[in-house]
Amino acid sequence: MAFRKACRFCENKIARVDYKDEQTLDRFISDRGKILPRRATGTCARHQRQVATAIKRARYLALLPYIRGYHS
Amino acid sequence: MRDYEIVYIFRSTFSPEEVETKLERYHGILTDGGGGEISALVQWGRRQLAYPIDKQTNGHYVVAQFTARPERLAELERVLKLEDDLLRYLVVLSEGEMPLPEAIAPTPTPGAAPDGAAPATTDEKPEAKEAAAEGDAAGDDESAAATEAGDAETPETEASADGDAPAAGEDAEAETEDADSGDEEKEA
Repeated sequence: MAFRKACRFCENKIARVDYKDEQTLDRFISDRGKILPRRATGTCARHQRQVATAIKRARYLALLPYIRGYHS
Repeated sequence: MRDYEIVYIFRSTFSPEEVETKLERYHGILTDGGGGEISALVQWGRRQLAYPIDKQTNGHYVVAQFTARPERLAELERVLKLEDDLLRYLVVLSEGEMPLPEAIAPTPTPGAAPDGAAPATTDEKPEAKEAAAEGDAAGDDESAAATEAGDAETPETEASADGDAPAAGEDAEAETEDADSGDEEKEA
């Protein structure tokens, strides 16, 4: 098993992932706007759940795109 | 009584005064009948939307934290749904781990609260954002620290913190590579 990168939020002692912090959340979505899996980001399970919820809230508030790079 | 957080997105054509009057009206609904209290109000101002809403590409963002009785919140939501000039709103339960005073202080710009609280971040982005948020004040502090030889500790520690994290990562990588090569040898 390759070494596991430590969870970014645990490292920074962030208890709660903030849905308003779109600059941080931006690192957890793909170039198409999809939520990246834990295996790609190294986020722990607890924080991954929070990240997923936060990204969905941020999308609703138009802080993050639902689909990136799509212009109708 | 519960703690909530609400984000409003008004049409960017709204003037700040119009937004102000709207907010007063909304928050009046919450405090009606006693009990409710607005504990924090942060204006993000005009901001580009990640995707157009109602053919609008910009919106005026306002974040507020408050306590209110659930019945009053229901009434507020009823009113908000009738508003045409409110592009979006989102009410969420305010997180218990994030006490209000701390949450207000480092949030002058979009959601800098958690990053602002963490002192030695290894990432470049949050730091850049902090610097942007604090603006001239942060820049002055840093330059002052640099000129004063006694205060030079803070940049040093930051630098070492920055340097340690990637180095540790490399070590870990090297170890795994060693392990891999070891396995291969055994197989051979």
